[in-house]
Amino acid sequence: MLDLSFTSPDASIWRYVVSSAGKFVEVGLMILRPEELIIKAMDPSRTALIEFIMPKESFEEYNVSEERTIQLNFEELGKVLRSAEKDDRLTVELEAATIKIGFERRGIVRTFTLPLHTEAGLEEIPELNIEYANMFKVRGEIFYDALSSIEDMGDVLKIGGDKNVLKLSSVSDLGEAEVELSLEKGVLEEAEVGNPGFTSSYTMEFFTYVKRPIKAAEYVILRVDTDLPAFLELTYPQGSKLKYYVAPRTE
Amino acid sequence: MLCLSDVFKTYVYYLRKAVYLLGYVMELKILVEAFNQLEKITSRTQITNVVVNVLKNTPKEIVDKVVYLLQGVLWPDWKGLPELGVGEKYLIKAIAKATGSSEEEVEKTYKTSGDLGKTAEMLKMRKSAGGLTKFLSSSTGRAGLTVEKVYDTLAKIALTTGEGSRDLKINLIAGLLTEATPSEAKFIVRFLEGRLRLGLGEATILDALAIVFGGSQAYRPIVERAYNIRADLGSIARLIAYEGIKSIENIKPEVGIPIKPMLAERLDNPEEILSKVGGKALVEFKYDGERGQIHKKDDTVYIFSRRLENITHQYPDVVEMVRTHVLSNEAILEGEIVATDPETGELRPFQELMHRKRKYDIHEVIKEIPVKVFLFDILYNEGEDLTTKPIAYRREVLKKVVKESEDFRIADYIITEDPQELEKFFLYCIENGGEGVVVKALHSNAIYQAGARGWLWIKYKRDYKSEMIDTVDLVVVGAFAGRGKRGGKWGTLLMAAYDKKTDTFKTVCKLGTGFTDKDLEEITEMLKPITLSHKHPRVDSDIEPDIWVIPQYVAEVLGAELTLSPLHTCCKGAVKKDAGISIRFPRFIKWRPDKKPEDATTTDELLEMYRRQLKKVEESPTP
Repeated sequence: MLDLSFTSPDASIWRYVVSSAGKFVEVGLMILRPEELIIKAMDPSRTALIEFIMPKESFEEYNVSEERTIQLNFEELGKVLRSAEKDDRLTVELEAATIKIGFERRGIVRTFTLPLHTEAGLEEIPELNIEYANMFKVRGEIFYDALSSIEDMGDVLKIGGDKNVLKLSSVSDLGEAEVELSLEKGVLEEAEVGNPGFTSSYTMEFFTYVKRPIKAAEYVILRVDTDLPAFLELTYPQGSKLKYYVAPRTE
Repeated sequence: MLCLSDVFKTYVYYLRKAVYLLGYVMELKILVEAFNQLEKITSRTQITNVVVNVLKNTPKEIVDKVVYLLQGVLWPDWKGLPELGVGEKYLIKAIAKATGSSEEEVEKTYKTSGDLGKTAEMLKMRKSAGGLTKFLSSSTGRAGLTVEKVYDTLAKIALTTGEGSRDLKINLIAGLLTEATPSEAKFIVRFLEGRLRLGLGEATILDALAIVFGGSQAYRPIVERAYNIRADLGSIARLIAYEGIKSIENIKPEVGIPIKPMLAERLDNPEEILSKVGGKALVEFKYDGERGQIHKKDDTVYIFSRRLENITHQYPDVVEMVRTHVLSNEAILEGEIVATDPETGELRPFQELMHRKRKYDIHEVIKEIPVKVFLFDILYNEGEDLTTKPIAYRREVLKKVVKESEDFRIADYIITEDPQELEKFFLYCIENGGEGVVVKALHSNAIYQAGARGWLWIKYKRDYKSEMIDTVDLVVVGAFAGRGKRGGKWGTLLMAAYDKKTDTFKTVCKLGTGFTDKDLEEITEMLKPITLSHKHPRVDSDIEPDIWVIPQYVAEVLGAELTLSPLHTCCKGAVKKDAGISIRFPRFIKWRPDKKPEDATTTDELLEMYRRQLKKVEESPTP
C-alpha cells in the first residue's frame, strides 16, 4: 500500500545534500510532515548538525497526510542519487517497508527501490537555539569561491569580522590565506555586526563537506560569534533551506 | 528564576537516573573506576574482588558485553569477526576532533606521555570541546556514557568496512570521546588500540563469575569446565546470569562453538611414557600439520584451529570432505590437516599450509597444496557429549561416524604396551613426515579433558634433528609404480648410499618429489633396460619396491633433514639399535651422469653429516 509520495522538480539539490551529509554521518532522519519535509543528521562527534527543510510548496506533488519519521542511510541513498542532474524530476514513494526513488529526464524514468530501515530506536536529533549578534548574507557562489580559495591552506577556518566586513582565513605552517567580503564592495548582500572584532575557529573539513550545497544555494546567511557554533542558512529558489551548524574549536 | 526548560531538564535527568537504578543500563564510569583500580593493584585476591564488584553491578542483559570488555575483546576470536585494531593515525585524528585540538598538538602530547590513552585523558582535561552538545537546547542533564552504548559503538567501528569507512570510524570514535569523561576517554582509546593493560587473566574472571553467581569460589571448576566446553566466556556469563550456576553443570558442547582442545604432556622415554599412561596405550602418528576441530551440522561445517580461530575459509576442500565422509548430522571431530604433494600424495611439512592463509585464490592454492585429514578424536555426536566418555568408546564412535577414504581417514595408530614397538612406530612416523607420536591412555578414566594439559596424552617427539644443508648423491636401486596422474610410470624411486666397507648400496629414502613430467617420462625409459626381477646382490634393503634395478643412475637429492628410520639399512645400528639413517622430505634436484654409483655419497659421509648437523629441537606449542 502506498503510504505517501512526493515529486521534486530538481533532483540535483537532493544529491548535494545527501552526499554532503554522507561525508560525516552514516544515517540521518527524514521527517515527513503535512506541511514540510526535513532531512536531519548530526555527526557522531557532535561537531556538525545538518537540517534540510523543504516546504510543501517546493514540491510539484506532495501527498503526506500525517507525520512520519524514517531513517535514511546516506551511503545507500547517495549511490542512487549519484546520477541525478539538474532538471531531473525526483519522485519518492514510501511504502511500509520500501522507499522507491524515481528520476525522470526527458521522459525516461529510472526507478530504484531500497529497503526502509527500521524505525525502532531512532535517536532524536536535538534543536539548537542560539542567539547571534552577527549576521552576513552573501550569494552562494561567492561564499563557495571564498571557501575554495583558502581551504587548501590549513585545517582550521578562522571567521572574524568588523562592521560590514566578513573575514575568512586559514592558517598553517605553509602560511596564511585570507578572504575579505565587504558590504562596501557589494560582495555582501547584508551585514549586521553587533560584536565587532569577534573571531572564532572551526575545523575546515566541516565546511568542505557542504561546498556543493553552498554553490547551489541562492544565498548563504552566516550567523557567527566568538566561540559560538557557525550557523549557515542556505536558501534555494523553490523555498527550500539548508541549516548547518559547526561547533567551534577551543584553542 | 527556574524556567520551564530547566524543569524539563531536571525531569529527564531523574528519569534517566531511575532507569540506571532499575538496572536496565550500566554507566561506563562503573567499569572505568574498576579499570582505574586494576591499574594500581597486583594482588590476585584484590583483582578478583574488583571484578566481582563490577559483575555485581552489571545488569544481566549486558553481562556478556561487560565480560568481553574485561577480556579486552569485543567477541571471541573464533567468531571470525573483525578486530578493532584502530591505527594510531585514526586515533590521533579522532582525539583532535573530540578535544578541539590540532593533530600536531595531539602528537606533541603523545610524544611526552608515550600513551595515546593518557594523551586523550590529558587533552580532555585541558580542553572541553564538547562539540555542539553544550549548545543543544533539549540536552538534558546527560547521565553519561553507558557500557551498552560504548560496546555497540566499538562494535560498529570494528564492523565498518568499505568506501568511506575511514572517516566514519574517526567520527564514531570522536563521538565517543566527545561524550566521555577524561578517564573514560583514556580507556576507550586503550581499548581501541588493543592495549587495555589490565593484567586481568581469564582465570580471574572465572573466579569472579563463580563468586558472583555461585556464591563461592568453589564453583570455579564448574564455570571453567563450561568455558572449556564452550569457549565463549561472555555467553557462559549470560547463561549463568539468566539461568543460574546449576544450568552449566551438565553443559554440552554446541556445534559452532569451539571446545578448548585437550593438550598433551611431553616425555622422551618410551618406558616411562607407557608407565605413565598405565601400560597399554593407543599410539598415534603425530602428523606435522594443523590441528583442526571440525564441527558439522547438516551441511554446515566449521573448522577451528588449535587457538580456536575460525579457519574454515582456508579449507573449502576439507569442508567438502566432511560433508561427504562424516555420516552424522551433528558432530564435533578432531583431526590433523596435513599438506600433501599433489603428484605423489606424500605428506609435506606444516609450513606448506601457510599458503592456505591467503584470502584470495584459495581454490588455486587447493590444487597446489592439497591436504589430507587424519582424524584422531570425536567429542560430540548427535546430541551425545563424548568429552566425558573414555577414549576407547570415542574411537568406536569415530569409526562408525566416518566413512574413510584415502584423504579423510582415522590417523595411523598402533595399540601396544611394548616400549620397543612404540619406539619403532615413533621412528617410522618421523621418517614418514610425522613429528613423532602421541601416546594416549586407554583406561576407563581416559576422558577428553577439554582445555587441560595432562598425562592422559603424552607426546613423544624428537629431541634432536639433523638439518640437511648440503645435497647428497644417491643411487637408484628400485622403483614404485606411480598413482593418479603418474599411473603407468615409475613415480617414486628407492634411493641408496654407497657403503665402501661392504661394497653395497644401502637404502636411504624413497624419492618422489621434484620430478617434472618430462623427468618421469625419462625415468620410465631409463629404467626399462636395467630392470631386474630380483634384488641386485650389491643392494642391501629391507624394503621391497615394485621393481628392482641395477645400481647405475646417480641423482642429486636435497632433504629437510637426516633422520633415524627403522626401515632403511643405511648406517643401521650406528646411532640407535635397529634404526638406520634416512632423509625426511627428499627432493630430486638433478641427475648426475658424471658420477658412477660408487661415486655416490657414502654411508660414512651420511653418518658424519647426521652427527655434525644434530641440533636440539625447539619445543613447538602443538600437542
